[in-house]
Amino acid sequence: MASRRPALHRGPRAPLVLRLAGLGVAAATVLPIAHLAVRAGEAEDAGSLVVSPRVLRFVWATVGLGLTVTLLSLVIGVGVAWLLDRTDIPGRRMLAVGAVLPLVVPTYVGALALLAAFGPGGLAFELRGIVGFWGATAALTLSTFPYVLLPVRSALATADPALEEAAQALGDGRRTAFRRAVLPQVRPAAAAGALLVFLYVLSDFGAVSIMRYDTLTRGIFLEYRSAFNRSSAAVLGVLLVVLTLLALAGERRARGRMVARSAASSAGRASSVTLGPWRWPAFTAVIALVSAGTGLPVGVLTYWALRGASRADGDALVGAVGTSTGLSLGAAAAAVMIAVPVSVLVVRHRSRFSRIIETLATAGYALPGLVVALALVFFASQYLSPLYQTFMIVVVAYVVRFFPEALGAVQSSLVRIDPVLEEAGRSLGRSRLDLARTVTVPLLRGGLVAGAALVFLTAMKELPATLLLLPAGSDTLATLVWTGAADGRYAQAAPPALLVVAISALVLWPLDRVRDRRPRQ
Amino acid sequence: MLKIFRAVVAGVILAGSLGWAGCSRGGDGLVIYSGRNKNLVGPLLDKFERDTGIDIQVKYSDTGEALATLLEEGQSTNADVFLSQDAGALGILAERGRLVRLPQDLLDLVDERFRHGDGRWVGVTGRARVIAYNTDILDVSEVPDSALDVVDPKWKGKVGFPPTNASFIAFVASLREQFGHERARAFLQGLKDNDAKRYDNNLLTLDAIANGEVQLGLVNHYYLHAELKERGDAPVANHYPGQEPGQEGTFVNVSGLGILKGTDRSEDADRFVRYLLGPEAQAFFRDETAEYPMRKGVDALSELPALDQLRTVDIQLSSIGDDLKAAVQLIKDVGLS
Amino acid sequence: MSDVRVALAGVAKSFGVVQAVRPTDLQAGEGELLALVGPSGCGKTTLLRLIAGFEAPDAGTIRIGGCLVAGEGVFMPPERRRVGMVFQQLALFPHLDVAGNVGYGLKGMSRGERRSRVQELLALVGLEGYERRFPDELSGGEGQRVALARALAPGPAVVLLDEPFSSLDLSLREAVRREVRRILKVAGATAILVTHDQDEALAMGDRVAVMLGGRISQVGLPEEVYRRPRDVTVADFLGDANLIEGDLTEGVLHTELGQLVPNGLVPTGPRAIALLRPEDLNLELVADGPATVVDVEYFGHDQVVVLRLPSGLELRARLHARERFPRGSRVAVRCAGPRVVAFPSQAARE
Repeated sequence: MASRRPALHRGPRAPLVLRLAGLGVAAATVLPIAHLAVRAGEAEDAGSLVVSPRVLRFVWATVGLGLTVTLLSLVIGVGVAWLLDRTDIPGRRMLAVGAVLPLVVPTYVGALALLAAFGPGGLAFELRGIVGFWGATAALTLSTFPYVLLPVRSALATADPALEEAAQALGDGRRTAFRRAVLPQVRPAAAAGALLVFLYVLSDFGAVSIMRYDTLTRGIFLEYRSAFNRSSAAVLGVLLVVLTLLALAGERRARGRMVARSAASSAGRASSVTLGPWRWPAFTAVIALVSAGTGLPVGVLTYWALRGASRADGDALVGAVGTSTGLSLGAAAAAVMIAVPVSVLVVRHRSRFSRIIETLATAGYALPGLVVALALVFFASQYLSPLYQTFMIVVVAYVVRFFPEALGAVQSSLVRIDPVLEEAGRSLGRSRLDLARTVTVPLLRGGLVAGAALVFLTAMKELPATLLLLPAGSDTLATLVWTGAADGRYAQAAPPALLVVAISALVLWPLDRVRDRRPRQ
Repeated sequence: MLKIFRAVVAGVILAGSLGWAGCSRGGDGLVIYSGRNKNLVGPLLDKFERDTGIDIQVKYSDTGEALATLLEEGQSTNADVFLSQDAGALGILAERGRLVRLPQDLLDLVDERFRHGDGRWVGVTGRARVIAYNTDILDVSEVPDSALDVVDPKWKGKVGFPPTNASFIAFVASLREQFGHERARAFLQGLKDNDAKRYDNNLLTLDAIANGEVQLGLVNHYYLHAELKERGDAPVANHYPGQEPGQEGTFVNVSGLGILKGTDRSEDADRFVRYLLGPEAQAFFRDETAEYPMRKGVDALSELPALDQLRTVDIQLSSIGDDLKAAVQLIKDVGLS
Repeated sequence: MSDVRVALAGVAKSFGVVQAVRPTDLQAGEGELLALVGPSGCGKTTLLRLIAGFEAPDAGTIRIGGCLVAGEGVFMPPERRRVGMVFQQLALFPHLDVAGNVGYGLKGMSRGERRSRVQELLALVGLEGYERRFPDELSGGEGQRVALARALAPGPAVVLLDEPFSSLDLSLREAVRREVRRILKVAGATAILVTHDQDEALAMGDRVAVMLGGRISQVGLPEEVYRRPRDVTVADFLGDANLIEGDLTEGVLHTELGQLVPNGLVPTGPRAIALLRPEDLNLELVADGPATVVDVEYFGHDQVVVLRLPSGLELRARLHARERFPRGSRVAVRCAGPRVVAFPSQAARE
């Protein structure tokens, strides 16, 4: 590997545009946090609330669930990534798309499906103890492990197989070579994915409410929904923010040094491991995973759609497809567009400033949608009334909530672009902007597409912020699912839920193609 | 790839223009924040529009979230009417002085028990807290006559209830009011000790009863009718507890509405409230959602015990606010939520 | 150096407490290839980046083609400096083909002009027909030539080459070096080559600037800096150096190897150090010779014989490969000529 220039001293200061982009993003995330702090300050008993055994139980439960799901997601995500990219597992292409699909299943649908299949009186057989911790763990792991799988796969695709071969040549077995040469290369990607998983678990309400597992976020929702007490809710929210900041600090330690490598180096395709007799068992295992994560929910939804007497309103569905797709596309595009300058700031201009921006930009991910939505309700209704109750503000909410997905994808892509390419461009007389257009963005393509797709998928299933911010009279697919499910009309709820899955699958298909292609056309 | 990128850019522009197009405020008709499900009230609201020619815009969400939204928006809210799933949320708005006093003739349509003491909100429909049971497993004669009896050891692990549901909380508040704090606590502790299963809401509780996960549960009466509508063969039925003298009585909570202060459409809002309390709308609720009509003189479904025949809990819904807080605290203290 | 193309005056740069470049003057003339050589960490790359505009100097001025680009309150960004750069990692754009890479810096030209300019450059570097290839389909040497063509395409005022050969196989390196020098000369380009490899610097540079510890120690023709280094460190850095200390009396240095006559500037003081390049020594197998052969490094075309003198001092002698000097044999050592470069003794201890 080429010796690196002193990257810390690159340029005196980040250009103003980058710093402004960073500040803008940070401000957007600080908004809900500040709002929470103000509301928490209104609680008369904030102090005693924080140390009450009940709240401590929530914190403990949240951390326990978060760590368990993160650990399982890491194991599954890295394992499946390795199977797909480094072995001769059959049906690779199909499995690759299938393995990411669970991402598009809303967690409340996934959890309901698990209960419907394995709960008491379930359609399949009853698993004791499915309700509670293990049920929540299963539902959340099944829908979040792709957050690890996706970045690890793209890291593996660009990891230098020479290192692996070198390790083997030095006498390491394949297993040791994997541990010593491959894992360190995928570590930043895995850590970034694990962070998303952990924060997602912090913010999730769907799975924990269906599985009746008390986390902080469930506590927050309950304060709003049944106790009508927004200041206690805010106190819990502040605790959640604290947990988030701790998680971010933890991830920073785990990430280790980012492995940067020249985009120009022409690493060959890594040799693939022959699974031998394990080929079909491995295939079956991945299929089982896909079935549990996607097949099961789709099956249960279909069953509901057929069994129930209620019907979905066709016109409403058509309208909701348009609204959902438009909003999610808008959020995806806005998120990656903002993610480009922020990534450049974070990756190319490391400083205390950029680290703070990165932390703040990521913190929003752990906030429950309801908290983000209420903060935006407050600020928009008071200070931005022309924007309030428009589609625009929904897009803003999505971007605030899901920006880290875009940032992570673009950032890990940018890390792999040698900054010397940008210098080369500038020395050839091209301006920074020109260069971004002709070199950086084309080379970031994989990251941009991955980031946009992640945001799109997550936005498609977003409910709490959508409900509060969507202009009156419109619906998204997620709100239609909610309308049906909240009223027990599962047959009405199933078609929009199935549409969310179907549209998302359509998005994932090209995503995998783009990923597999070489950097040029 | 460039195509994808262009499509994404086009998406942004599309979303942007949609956003601006959607930002028509002011002349946008009567704005209603509904904590009640669109399935329950949507058809009726459409009919209101057709019948009166008044444009309405409805924002559906959960009652608690709608309340939180109204609180965040404060004076700059766009909402004219708040349609709430339960009395507690209306009580909080009334307490904060956010609701206008409704005209007396309107209030007089509804029994005093089911409206705000100072006329800030009025009940539209009523729902009774009942014991629902699985008819495949239990005969009606086996079902306890009092909700308080479900803590009997013979029901250990066989009872379901939604501890975080607003109606359940109101029910606990009513127990507290009638029998005192300690008795209410003992009841909750009994539920806990008896391994009563907790569900997220009435509906999931009823589902659990229907599939035999538990044998009986504490729910609102009308979910049974929704469940039967979706699944005609569901083996569930309702039992109205607490009818004997000295027992707790059947607790009836209301869904209701109030008009927000600062509305620039008070006339339309007034017509809306009148419409919902009109005989036609009240009959709609009775037939579609199986709730109790609140307008005096409109009868409930014949298969339900009539409201005036029912021994109901005597509790002032209008001043339930503090009681609710205490009830929530009690439920938390016992460790049920 | 009639026409100065690049002129640095008093340029300095620190990163935090580290002084990467101490106040430095340096000039490169029209059409000249200046080799800037020094060990890693000596500041040479920083100096190059200062010229290119990737860093801003703390002090001093930089002029390119007579135009002030940095200093005196001016800072011209890299894209406006008309500087062509060839990077260590080549930094070819992986998403563009060869034509796209070479044509990248050609702005404000019609499509046709652009194409013919690209053709012209590919012809210059001998890569006609490679237009549609992508960087990952090129060999190391081909990539090198594309990178050079790309840097030359816009007709830069100066071409900066940052360790361009270090990623090449040894076997390729010499050929590519020669080719690059030829191309630069044909193009008539002014160029500054940064390298840590003294052979490369001596072989390629019209002039060589030796940079040590953040400052330019010596600038001169290759044979000048090699034969007449300004001090011991320069001598030591540029190739093998045998340093022998002795007593200086009346212009004659008395050493273990006999009497040597310092050439040019004669150091003062009782003791001085003589520089003897390995090729300055002749050996003769003598049964009772004073020195012992410790080791022989055989290169085919020549050999380096490592000797130990009675005092324990080790010397390296570069000789024709024909004569054999078995390990352990005794030899007599003679200097090829009496005149040597000598430095004051203190300098050696510094």
